[in-house]
Amino acid sequence: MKPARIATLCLLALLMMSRVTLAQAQGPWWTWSTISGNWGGYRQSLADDGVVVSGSTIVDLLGNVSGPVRAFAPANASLLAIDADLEKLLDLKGLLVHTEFVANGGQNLSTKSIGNLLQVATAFAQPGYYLGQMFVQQKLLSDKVTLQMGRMTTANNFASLPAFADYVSFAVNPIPINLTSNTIYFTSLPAVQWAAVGTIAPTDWLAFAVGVYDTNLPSGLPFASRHGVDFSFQGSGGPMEVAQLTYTLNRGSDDIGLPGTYYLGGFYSGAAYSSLSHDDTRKGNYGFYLEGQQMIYRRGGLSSDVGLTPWISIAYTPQQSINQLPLLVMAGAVYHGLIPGRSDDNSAVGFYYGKISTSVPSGSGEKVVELDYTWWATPWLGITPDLQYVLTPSGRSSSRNAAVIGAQFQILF
Amino acid sequence: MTRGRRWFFLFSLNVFVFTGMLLPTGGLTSAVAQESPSKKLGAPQESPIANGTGRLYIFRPIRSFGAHIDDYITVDGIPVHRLAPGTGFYCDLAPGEYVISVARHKTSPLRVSLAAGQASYVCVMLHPQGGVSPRGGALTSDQSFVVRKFEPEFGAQRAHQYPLTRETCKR
Repeated sequence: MKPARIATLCLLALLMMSRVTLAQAQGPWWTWSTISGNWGGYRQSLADDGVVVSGSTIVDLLGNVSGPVRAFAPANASLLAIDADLEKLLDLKGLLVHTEFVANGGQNLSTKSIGNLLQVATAFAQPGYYLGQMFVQQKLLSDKVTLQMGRMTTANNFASLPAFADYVSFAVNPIPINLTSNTIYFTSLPAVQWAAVGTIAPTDWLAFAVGVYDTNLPSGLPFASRHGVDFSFQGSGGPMEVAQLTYTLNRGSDDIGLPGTYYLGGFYSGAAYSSLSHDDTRKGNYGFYLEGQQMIYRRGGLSSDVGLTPWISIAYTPQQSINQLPLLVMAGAVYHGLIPGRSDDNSAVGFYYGKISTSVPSGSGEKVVELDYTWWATPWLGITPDLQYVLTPSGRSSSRNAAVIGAQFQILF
Repeated sequence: MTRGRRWFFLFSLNVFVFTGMLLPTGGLTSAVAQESPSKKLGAPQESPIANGTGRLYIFRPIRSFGAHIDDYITVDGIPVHRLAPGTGFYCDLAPGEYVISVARHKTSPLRVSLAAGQASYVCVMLHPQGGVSPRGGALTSDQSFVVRKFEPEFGAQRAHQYPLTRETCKR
């Protein structure tokens, strides 16, 4: 209960803050870029001095409306981040310290009612409050080189295609779920590990990133991480290395072609993994991913950001004896600004296929179709009605398909 | 507290928070930032372009993440207006060529030619590197920007989806 109470107090404090500053900020409240506004100018002053505060909360209200086990499950994920720009504060060029606090609450509809592997709600994580990422970042050589070191989540730097953020399902948002569920150490918030990441971007269209992450089991599991302050460094057999090549197409100011983003990545984890069919463990796990999004139709002429962007993702972790979902193939399309006059809204459709390991008895594959429309009611409030249809949950032929409907609310603080 | 009660508490909390947020604005239907904002916000009508000048419209779309990252738009290096997501501004300038950028952020600047009586529409977009999802972490405040010129008809339609402020651009 404590985490929920703390989250409540935080939300109420921010709500009150927003009301206090209602009279202080310029323009009507609903036109502000964040719900808490500019704090009467104090927020911008802080930012100018080098301290930037940001926050967001996402609430997934989803229900399984089919089958004998109909159920409803709310889930909430809140994030507060503070950046200290040491270039402004201490004249240390290119140096920044980033710290996050995370609160999660609610229930997992996938385990509660559906029994599927491609978790339907991205907002659900182990309930509790956590110290999230906490890292130092140094930019060098005119921002061509970025070095980050500290407590980090893998999804911050790897395998998170921009289009993924338009979906409610945790199968795709923020990274292909099999990377997380198979390895544990390929993390998304609130799980973090000690890590060092280096990114080299020799041109505007090409970047290469390499990360080394600790594989400390308690640290990687939210409920065992002592609210994210388990700073122990001992790995569970060896570190995890991740590498990613990023190619961006037509993203510059002068580019008139259709924009695209492509990732090619892979990882190796030296940790020990439990066998799916025996009581033994196996050392080492590896995998690859290929992700790409490419605008193919644009409305509004050259440079417009309104149009249709299909995407595809393949994440493959070959070792079937330890990986429950060795293959996850996903494809979809996002139409930015489908309704005239609503150029900031997103329509998204996606199809996900997760192949179940041959080591899992009577498992074949699970499939999900997802349909979303994100309506930006204000610059700080996005409302996403969501429909997901889960076919053969957990790959069992005896399992019943499930229809999930609901909505996601995104609030920016 | 039982799981059922905890579940109910969280749900009630969400309803309370959302209701609380929407009450001051008079409800969700009035919280529409797009579509003729000038009428909804009671903003003054735009004046016609002054004789012998052109008009520059600069706006920033709404995006899920990075709303807290903003700074001044510069025209020929001079800071003009602090541009938040979902807002824009316009100013009249003598015919000529101008360079538009974002102060204190890595930006691909845009060079715009402005003719007398002509309007140009410029969109400033965050160009995030790294995670763009809450589960991937918050964007660090040192993100780069991209500045793009939109075609006149679409640009006019797009710019007027946001509340626009009149500014004075000096050269």
